[in-house]
Amino acid sequence: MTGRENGYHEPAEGRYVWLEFDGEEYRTYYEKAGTGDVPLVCLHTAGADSREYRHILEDEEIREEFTVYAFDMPWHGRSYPALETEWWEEDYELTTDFYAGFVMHFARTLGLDDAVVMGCSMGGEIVLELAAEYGDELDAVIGLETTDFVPGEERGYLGDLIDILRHPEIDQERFRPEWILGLQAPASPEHRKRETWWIYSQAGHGVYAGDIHFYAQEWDAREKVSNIDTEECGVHFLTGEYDFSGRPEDTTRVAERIDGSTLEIMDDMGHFPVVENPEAFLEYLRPVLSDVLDAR
Amino acid sequence: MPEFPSAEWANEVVRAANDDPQFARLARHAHATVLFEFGDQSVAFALDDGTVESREPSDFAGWDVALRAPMETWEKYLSESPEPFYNDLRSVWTQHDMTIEGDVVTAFQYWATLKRLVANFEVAR
Repeated sequence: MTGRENGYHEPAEGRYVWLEFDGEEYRTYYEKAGTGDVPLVCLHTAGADSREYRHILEDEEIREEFTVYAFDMPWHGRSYPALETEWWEEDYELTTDFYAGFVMHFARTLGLDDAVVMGCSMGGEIVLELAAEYGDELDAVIGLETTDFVPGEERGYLGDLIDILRHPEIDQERFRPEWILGLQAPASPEHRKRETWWIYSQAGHGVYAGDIHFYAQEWDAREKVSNIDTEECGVHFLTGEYDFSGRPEDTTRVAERIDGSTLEIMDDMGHFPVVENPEAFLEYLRPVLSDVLDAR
Repeated sequence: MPEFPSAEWANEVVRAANDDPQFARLARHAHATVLFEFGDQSVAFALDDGTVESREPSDFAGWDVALRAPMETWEKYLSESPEPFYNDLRSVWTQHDMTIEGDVVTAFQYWATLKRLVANFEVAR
């Protein structure tokens, strides 16, 4: 049992906002909680959605200082593809430009000035692009399980994985969550790890594959990261020691290239800290959020 | 406990898996012969719609999928508290020296089934 009483409402409220971006219209779902002065925008992982951030949205201490926004990218969760396009006639493939542009368009449209952006996995990658290209509009970024480059075959994103993720003879509702389940740490609570499993069993067909196209194939920020100015936009990293996708050595390499960035390797944590072990993750996140507030 | 790996150990795996309701769920409609190689020893298991039987090398002519790794790798993977990157079938395959051969579609179709079968390796040790 969670200890929540019957009838308890979580503080997050969900809404839909229509965003005109890149010549199309996107009905975009987001959840919002908190009364703090600082907007904190949270980016979900590949093939998943904003449900991953329910513990951040519920945390009282965070809500006092921040107003938390967690939105579903187009094609994910309760956000649709651009409904007036023939979206069903093409494979979905996320790109760096679309991803970064859409995050900034969300923030601008909602008037989230000097926001802090926190992203995990593919969200942990794109925060580097945001800091590099849009740092003057942001206060700070927090990268979870961040890497500037994924050597695909060494991390299990095999050359034919995208074909596997679209293969008609493979039950994607079962394969996808089982494929990512072991990215979580052995010590993380089984019930929380199965929450990740559940989210990953529910993506639209081909969406995880299209995100992996970005995450493990297109993405390469190895040259760009050294140009990030942490005086303009703070950069903080948290990476789990059991994450074999964005490995500690990967984030360490990135942090070493960005003067002024901070990095903490999280013990007994895997690739999905926000979901797999929220209590332990919050212990790592709180000092980072304090640093962000102190630097404003 | 029987020596790992051995025919007696394989029988224990079969007993544990066939008593495991989660294995029965995950192995529904699964039909494949899977070879596991532990260094220079090997055992095969035949999945058959929710149940499993062991096969010694002399008892079968072929396999659909083969998972091969040195004993040291299996020991680390099957340990109670695996080190980082030894904690999942995917990680010992992609980060270390396990190889997966044969019909890759079958391997991915039965990925959850294989992981649950391997979980019963630990039960039988």
